[in-house]
Amino acid sequence: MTSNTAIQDEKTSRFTVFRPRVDLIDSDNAITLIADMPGVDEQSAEVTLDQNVLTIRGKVNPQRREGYSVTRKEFDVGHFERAFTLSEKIDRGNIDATVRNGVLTVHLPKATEMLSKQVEIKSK
Amino acid sequence: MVRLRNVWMPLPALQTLPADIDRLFNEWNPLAKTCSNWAPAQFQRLYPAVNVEQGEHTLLLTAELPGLESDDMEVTVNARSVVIKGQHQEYELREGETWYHRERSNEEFERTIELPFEIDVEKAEAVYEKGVLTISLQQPEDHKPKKLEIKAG
Repeated sequence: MTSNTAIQDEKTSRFTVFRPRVDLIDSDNAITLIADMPGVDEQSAEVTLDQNVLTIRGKVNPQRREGYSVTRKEFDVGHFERAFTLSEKIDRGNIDATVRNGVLTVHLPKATEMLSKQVEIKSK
Repeated sequence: MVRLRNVWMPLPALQTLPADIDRLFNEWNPLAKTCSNWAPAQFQRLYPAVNVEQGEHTLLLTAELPGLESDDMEVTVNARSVVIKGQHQEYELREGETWYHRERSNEEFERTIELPFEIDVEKAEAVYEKGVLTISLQQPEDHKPKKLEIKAG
């Protein structure tokens, strides 16, 4: 159904980019993708479907707080990005994406009807 | 042409490797021939990861806890420590749905963070926004150092 695409490790951005953890749920008529992107809201999240490559992105700019110094650092803050190659046809017009509490949920309905549509043969 | 994607993707275990190596060297006692306290960080359940920023008399703790509701977690503040406790809710499969791939946590977590100085429990605040928990703490007024006026004798 989906697979992670090969990821090239080329630095083209001055920001750190992380690969979000995702869950993928499959059903006969849709694929649901859930991605952990702490710090991301509906304005800073982006979902694109280019050919059969689904890319999810989230922008998180590290905050520098005046008068504070970091004394313990267990995690880094940065952008999120991950791409998936979809092997199934998606009904592009009905993709639905929401962000809640730093979690992006993308609902991708499968274009099953379009694929299995029987062509009516008319007699002349 | 292949489109390049600048995604940083170490194995999860590698993220904590430098810290694990440090701890191995710091905590291993050659005389006792033990390293009882040593285990890779992921087995010590150090979750959530916490960043601590220190101001002059304030502390700011941040933890990434995506997908929780305020009811799913509990923050308890003591004079010298903070306890973050909660549970990630599992996605409930609807009829006809199956798991294809799982990486996200659905586990219970509890972590105690020791503080570098005593804080005023009454002034502690916790905010959960965009999947990030921020706890702000202040030193009690009477613990702040006082600059003395030097009088001529």
